[in-house]
Amino acid sequence: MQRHDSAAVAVDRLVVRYPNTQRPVLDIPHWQVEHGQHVFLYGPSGSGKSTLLSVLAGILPASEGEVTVLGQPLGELSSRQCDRFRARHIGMVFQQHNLIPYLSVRDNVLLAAQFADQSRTETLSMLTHLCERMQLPAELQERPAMTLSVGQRQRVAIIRALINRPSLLIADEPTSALDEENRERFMGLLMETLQQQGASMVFVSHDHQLAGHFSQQLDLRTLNQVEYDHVD
Amino acid sequence: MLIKLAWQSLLYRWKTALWTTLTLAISALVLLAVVHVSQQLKSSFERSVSGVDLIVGPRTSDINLLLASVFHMGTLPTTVSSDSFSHWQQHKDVEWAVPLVVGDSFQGYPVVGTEAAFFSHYQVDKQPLDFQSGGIFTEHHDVVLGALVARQQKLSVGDTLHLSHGTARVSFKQHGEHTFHVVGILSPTGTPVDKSLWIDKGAVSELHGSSASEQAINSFLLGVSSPFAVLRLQRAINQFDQEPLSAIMPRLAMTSLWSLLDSVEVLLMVIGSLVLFAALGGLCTQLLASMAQRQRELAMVRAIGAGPGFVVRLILIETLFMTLVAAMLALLVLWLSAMLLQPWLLQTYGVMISSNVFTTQSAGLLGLLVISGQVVSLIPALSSYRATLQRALMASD
Repeated sequence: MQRHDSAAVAVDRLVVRYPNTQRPVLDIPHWQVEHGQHVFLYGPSGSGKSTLLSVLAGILPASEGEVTVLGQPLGELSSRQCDRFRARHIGMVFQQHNLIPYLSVRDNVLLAAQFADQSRTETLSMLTHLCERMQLPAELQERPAMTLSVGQRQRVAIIRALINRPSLLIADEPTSALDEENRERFMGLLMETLQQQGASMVFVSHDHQLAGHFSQQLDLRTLNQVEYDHVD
Repeated sequence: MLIKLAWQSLLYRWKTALWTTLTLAISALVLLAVVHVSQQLKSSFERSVSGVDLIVGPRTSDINLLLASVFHMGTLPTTVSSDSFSHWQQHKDVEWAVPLVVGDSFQGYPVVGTEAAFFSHYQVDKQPLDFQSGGIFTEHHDVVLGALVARQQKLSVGDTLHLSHGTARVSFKQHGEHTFHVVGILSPTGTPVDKSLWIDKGAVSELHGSSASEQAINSFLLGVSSPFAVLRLQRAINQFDQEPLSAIMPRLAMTSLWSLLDSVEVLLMVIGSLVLFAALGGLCTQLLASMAQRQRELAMVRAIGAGPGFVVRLILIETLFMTLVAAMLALLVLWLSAMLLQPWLLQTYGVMISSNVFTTQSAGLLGLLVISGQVVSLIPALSSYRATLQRALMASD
């Protein structure tokens, strides 16, 4: 599906400014994530972690430079194409509010599958399989997302992010709302499933205890040329 | 999925959704009711008289003649001599002519002196008058009652009543010595017929102590032999040299009388539209407020790959649900209340309101509600379109 020589993520001379501001938030000369690599990205608040993830997901356009995800330069896509690209190839998990609270677990997942034009039957069998892997009881599928515990919700968020078999998973502090026991369980299940699907991952957190799960750890401050501003 | 999502989203916010829908329904009901009632009044007004080609009276304005002879309101400046009446009754273009003598009243209801032929020619809504009990007067001291008179005065066939002279409710000059027998009661029509009493023209002269042959009349109704004769006959009567007379065509006079009430109709429409406008403003406010609450939820839908168009469609469909339910609710309530109130309005006020509210006009008004709902919800929908997805998602940074 991608050019075999290209990396999962390749960033070249990237500069990001927010609209109506002069000072850049991100300035990354070069950065690359190989296929199948799992990167643990850390750094203090305000260092631009979430901004970088937004750029990788095609939500925030680069002001300068080139961002290539799975062989596709994002700058070449219209915003509509970008939405489709994200639906098909990128899974996203956030700190919280991952699910639409009033939809059932199944409908939350089906909605994501719909945006990627996946077949319903295939999605449902995939859902059953992922629920088993994530140790979620099958009857949970029928329940509205808001009735789930925080731990269950984050696991459903992973299922939703992986349902379209994305090649890249982007996770923004997905464990910060979980207690320690749930966090370890979450990480274990996430890494196991990801390994099985062979997807790459960029994982942002400032919880260094998690770093051990990753093949590569990276401090964003070493990557970003913009002086880190404590005042934020 | 989009429709399911919109529906579930409304169920989740059922309190606000319900109140918004109710507000919309009430305002739609006000607008529908105003239009329906004024339409019905107009048609009930316009169907007050049919089957009559010309109304003839002394020289006066069209509206005055119409009011005096059909609605029994106001007075005519003078009378029409019985000679003139006979002259026109015998005219070659005239098929029938029926005299009307007004001026007497019973408990405030007008008493009209006429001939038995009146009941075979006068029509309401193209239907001849119908008796709910009894029949036409045959004797001088017989009286036929309109439905409302019989009901409100608790009179039935066989009862007797005393008639007074003059149109005042309380009359000092009582024709106490003349007792009348109720011989017939007309079916309700929703027109001034319901509020009138009918006696033989000869009985009126007897009441007043004058001789029947010389008695002047107030006006007369006539039917022509051929529809083409109407205009010719009208001109001839208006130019009659033996007595100044006016002849009017009831439908035309009715239309010009109704046009006097145009401004009232317009005012009601303005009020109705303002109510609708306020409800739409409320809808817009509610949607904008919910946009703020739903920022994360909508950003999430965008993050999993929905285009901004999806979010706009979601909001438009939610509004569509609310406005459609409101429209159906308004129509249902109007229909039920028209159906339930119809007999009461007819019997108490002599007003005929049809329960057929499913007209193209109400469909048009409700369509307007639905469309303006869509237009109004474009404001919050587009604001969500422009809202930066990134800000909403990356709140942790």
